[in-house]
Amino acid sequence: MRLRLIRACRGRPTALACLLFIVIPPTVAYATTDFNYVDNQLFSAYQAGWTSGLNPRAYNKVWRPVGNQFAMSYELSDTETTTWFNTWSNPYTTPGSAGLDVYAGCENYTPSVVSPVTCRTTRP
Amino acid sequence: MRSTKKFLALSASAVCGAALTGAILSRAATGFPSAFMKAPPISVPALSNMSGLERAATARDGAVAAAAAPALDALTDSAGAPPGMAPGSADMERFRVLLDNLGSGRHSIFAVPTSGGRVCGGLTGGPSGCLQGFTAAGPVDYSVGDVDTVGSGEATIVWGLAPDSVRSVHVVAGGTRYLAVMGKNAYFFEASAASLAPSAVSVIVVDFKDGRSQSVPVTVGATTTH
Repeated sequence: MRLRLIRACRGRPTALACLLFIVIPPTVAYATTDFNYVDNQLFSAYQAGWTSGLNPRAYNKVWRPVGNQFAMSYELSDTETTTWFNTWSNPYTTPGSAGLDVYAGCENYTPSVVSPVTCRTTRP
Repeated sequence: MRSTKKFLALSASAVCGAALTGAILSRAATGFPSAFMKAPPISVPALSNMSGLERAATARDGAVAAAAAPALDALTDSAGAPPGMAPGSADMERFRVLLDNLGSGRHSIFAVPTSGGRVCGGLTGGPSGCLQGFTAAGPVDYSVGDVDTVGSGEATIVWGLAPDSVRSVHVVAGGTRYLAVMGKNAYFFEASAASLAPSAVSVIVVDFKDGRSQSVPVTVGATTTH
């Protein structure tokens, strides 16, 4: 199908438009958007930040001063959560959600105030 | 005499006021007390104390590097990073596998230096992070978690990077002390029972080559939900 489209576009004045028609849809289909769901915030003791929506995630990442334990979670449902705890790495990233729709979250797992905290993940 | 006293009092008041204003302004610039920002000092820089990165590269390093590249890209990408916290780009020529074929998931632990002078390490299929170095309270790095949901699939895992000075690591979980698999600059422990949750891990005991031993308390448990 794509080959037929390419042949149809060759040598025509609308070649550029055809090229965009062929190239853009697959690019959009596979593109993910990276975004900070917590941006340069001050986290009080045991405060958590979460994405507002359920989506597959390519990663879940935190930047915060080292020495502060953080819990990086994916919430699949009210009872199913996967979490990794870390204190000394910065940044720290957990792997993707294997295509599952999840909330991504980061939690200050200390009794202290931690700042600045930035957490980042992806959505389709 | 009276005017001199008045002048001195006014001067002292002005100096105190200026000092107080300066202190308030400096705190306002950061938005919070500086004590919250300070990270513990690095006592053992990672880059100069991980000789596992110095050995010659092997075909296995290349294979694991190819598999780990997307995770490393996500880890070291500076987009969205707060000022001064981007680790720099990974020097993939110096990527090394520190431990291989670990646990039921056949994981590998790897490390790679960055252009920013850090060492980034990771567990294949698991988390990854970047270290500037090790501290008095954190003589080894550690990650505690489960690659899938608790109680199913793989069991609880504890792993981390360690400097050359570390001889062995024990993990205390559910009140029992387990010897972790130790490699050059990395250790790994997987609980034998899937039912042993990450919250069962309470202490990481670090044994140094000079005979010293240090217990690092670990507190993990339930997290908040969205």
